[in-house]
Amino acid sequence: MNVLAILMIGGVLAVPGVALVALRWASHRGELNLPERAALLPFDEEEPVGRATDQILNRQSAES
Amino acid sequence: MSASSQTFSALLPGDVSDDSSKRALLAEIDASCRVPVLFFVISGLLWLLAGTALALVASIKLHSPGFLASWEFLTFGRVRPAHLNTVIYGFASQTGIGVTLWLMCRLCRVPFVAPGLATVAAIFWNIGLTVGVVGILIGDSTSIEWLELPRYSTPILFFSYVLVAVWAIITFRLRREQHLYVSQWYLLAAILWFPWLYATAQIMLLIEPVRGVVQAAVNWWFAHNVLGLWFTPIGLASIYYFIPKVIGRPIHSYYLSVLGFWSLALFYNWNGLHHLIGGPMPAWMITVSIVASVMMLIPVTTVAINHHMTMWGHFGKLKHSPTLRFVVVGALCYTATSLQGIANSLRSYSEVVHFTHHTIAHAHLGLYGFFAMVMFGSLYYIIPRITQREWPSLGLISLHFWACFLGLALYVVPLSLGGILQGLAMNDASVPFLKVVEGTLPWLKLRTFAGLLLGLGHVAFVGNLVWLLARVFGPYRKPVVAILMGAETAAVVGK
Amino acid sequence: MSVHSDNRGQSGLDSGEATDVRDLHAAILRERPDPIEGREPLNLWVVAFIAALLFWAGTYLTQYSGGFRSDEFAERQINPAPAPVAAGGGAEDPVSKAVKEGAIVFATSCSPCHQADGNGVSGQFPPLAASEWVLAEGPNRIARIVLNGLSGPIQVKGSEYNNAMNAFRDSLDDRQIANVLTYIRNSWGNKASLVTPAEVGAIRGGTSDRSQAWTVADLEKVPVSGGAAPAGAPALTPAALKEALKKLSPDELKSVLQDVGK
Ligand code: HEC
Repeated sequence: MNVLAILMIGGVLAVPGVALVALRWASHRGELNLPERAALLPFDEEEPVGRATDQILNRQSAES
Repeated sequence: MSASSQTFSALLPGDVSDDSSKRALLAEIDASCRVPVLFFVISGLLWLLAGTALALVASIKLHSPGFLASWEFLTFGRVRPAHLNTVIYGFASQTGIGVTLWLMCRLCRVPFVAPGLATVAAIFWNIGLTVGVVGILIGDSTSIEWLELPRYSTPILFFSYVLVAVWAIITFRLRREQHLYVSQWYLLAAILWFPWLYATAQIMLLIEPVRGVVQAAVNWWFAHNVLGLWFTPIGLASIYYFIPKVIGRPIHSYYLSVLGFWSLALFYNWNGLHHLIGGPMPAWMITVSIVASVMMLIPVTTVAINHHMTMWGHFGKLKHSPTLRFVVVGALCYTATSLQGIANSLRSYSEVVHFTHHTIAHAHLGLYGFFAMVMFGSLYYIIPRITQREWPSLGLISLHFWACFLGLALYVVPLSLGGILQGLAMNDASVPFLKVVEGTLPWLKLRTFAGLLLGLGHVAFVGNLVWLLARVFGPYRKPVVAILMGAETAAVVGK
Repeated sequence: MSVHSDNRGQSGLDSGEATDVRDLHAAILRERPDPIEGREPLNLWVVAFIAALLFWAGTYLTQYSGGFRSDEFAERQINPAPAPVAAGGGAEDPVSKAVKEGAIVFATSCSPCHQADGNGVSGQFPPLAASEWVLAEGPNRIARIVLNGLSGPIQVKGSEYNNAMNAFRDSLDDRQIANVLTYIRNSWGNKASLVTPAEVGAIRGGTSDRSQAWTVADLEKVPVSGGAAPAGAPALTPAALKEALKKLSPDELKSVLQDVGK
């Protein structure tokens, strides 16, 4: 059972540990240095910044 | 799908771009998601209906113990875990995965890869869960909270979690957009954390059980992480995607969102043991988890500020967008439930509210108010896109929203306060225990009423969805211009 | 990308912002050459807030962790008030060690009644500080009080008390009782000899047939020191025993002999 207790404590340390490794990876790739670009990732030419979507309620012209 | 995407292009007024392949990409991605996402989402919603029914039975039993008392498979000790497991593993997880699949495809900018893999995962998931829930109802529950599903069902479920994780890794490797949006961080983390959490808990609690208090420690480490490392990231990923998307404005501060993600990743995992305050755990373990819980103020406040600042000046859009309504309510509930949870984790506060209905209100504020609401909002956005069909009834959408919103408020607010009163009474040695129990009755009855409202909302939602799906199989009616193109375009098209 | 915003602006149903401005805005956002510009530094308040949280975390961790011991369940008893025992120089002499451990037992088992400062509550709970019972030469009587409790009238420091104290026979073991007795005998200005677990064990064994609480009348039949302690314990040199036996009345002597015979 002690082995398992060690496993558990190891596990508890592993999550933030893996997170730290991932953080290093991210900063190496420069993921943390392009906040502006990254913030625009959900948008593209098809659904650009500045255009609201999903405006369907309480609008007469949108009703079918 | 190219036909329909051309239709959209043709409908686009004015600024048709030269790069038509790019234009078609979103439509292609959406269409490719159809089968697997719908599979997860629809089964999730069916489990939601089942879970709601079980919840109502359990809730009524708390104030009218004679209700359905003659069926042993509907005794409280079975209905309650059956409710928990259907809504957690059936509804929340599966809808969450449905949304995750779609978001991953969109953010990686690749059409759905290996749809077969995901569909197989969904099938196994539902088989495993059905076996498990039936197992609970016939009395095979393991009686370990959050892991009540009997041992013969969990390997099936685990298999399907692994498939989903494998799918996510494949999609991630094939991504066309090299940079990661904050939502992707959350989603990837969730999808990789969960099978690992689940396996650890299964092994240490059911397959090769540890002894004594370590069991309780593992149990709550798992249960709390399911909330924090599985549901929370998926919910937040959706909020981070849909708020900017709907209002058409990038997130206020990307730095804050990065900070929020990493502090969650670093601190959340330590939180679980605050459930054992007052229990026979070495004091330092509980203290560590209290400190980690309070550290959650960092992700919570950064996320709250960020979402609020993004919404700033755009609150008017709440009127028009069902997605935004649900998602924003979810975001507010996230802040509220997190702050409440942090308070609950403090020893002095926990002394009062531990073992009261306050905790239950808290759990529902988190899982329902935050997670389920965000999922509903996301589905309102996703489903029309993947099915290329408009929501048939706007009235049902409103009904869904208001029923759930009111039901939620009536559930959480009174039960939180009632829980505090209950806790104070329980700590007062001069109040007989029976008096305390009787004192909770009005709150419990109110909860049943709130549950009925929530159920009404769910039925409205599922009804609307069924109607929409009927149109999918029916003749092609009308493209989703209103939703796809946004307000001003819709107006042009409407003319 | 070309923007023909005028076409779209005609709708008359835009959400309050002119379309061309938004498109312009989008273009600017997308094409801004130098990303450094867009990097809002983290708000100073956020940084200060995080720093404050971290500071709090450190404090709380050190204050409420029960010394990071695996057998400490009560977070608040960490760092028990430094025992006011004269530090004799040696790192851990037996008395200060026992006092340290006894302080923890005292805090959970005795202080609710006798108070942390050992002064009791006047009229209800007698003081332990400077109590002649506590400072008696040997632990014979107070060990019995702790084992079986005490009820009925008792004189402490010239005041009369008539109340009841509960028994700790089943909830504390010999070591804990010995330590807590050493603690009360060496705190708040008290100064008396160490009590060993062996002494307590012997008394426990010798009184195992007693089920009710002690009364002062019964206690006074028990010699103040010596007696039940096993050979070898410091209180039981032959000389001390002789000294103690000399003090006894014939009746008391008889009862001691009977006890020993059991
Ligand atoms: C429930 C309250 C209570 C607790 C707990 C308690 N005592 Fe007492 N104690 C009393 C009372 C009351 C008396 C006086 C009894 C009487 O009046 O007959 C007393 C008397 C005594 C006496 C003899 C009188 C004196 O003041 O010297 C000693 C010694 C003593 N207690 C030690 C302890 C020790 C050591 C503990 C902890 C292991 C302890 N008590 C725990 C209530 C308590």
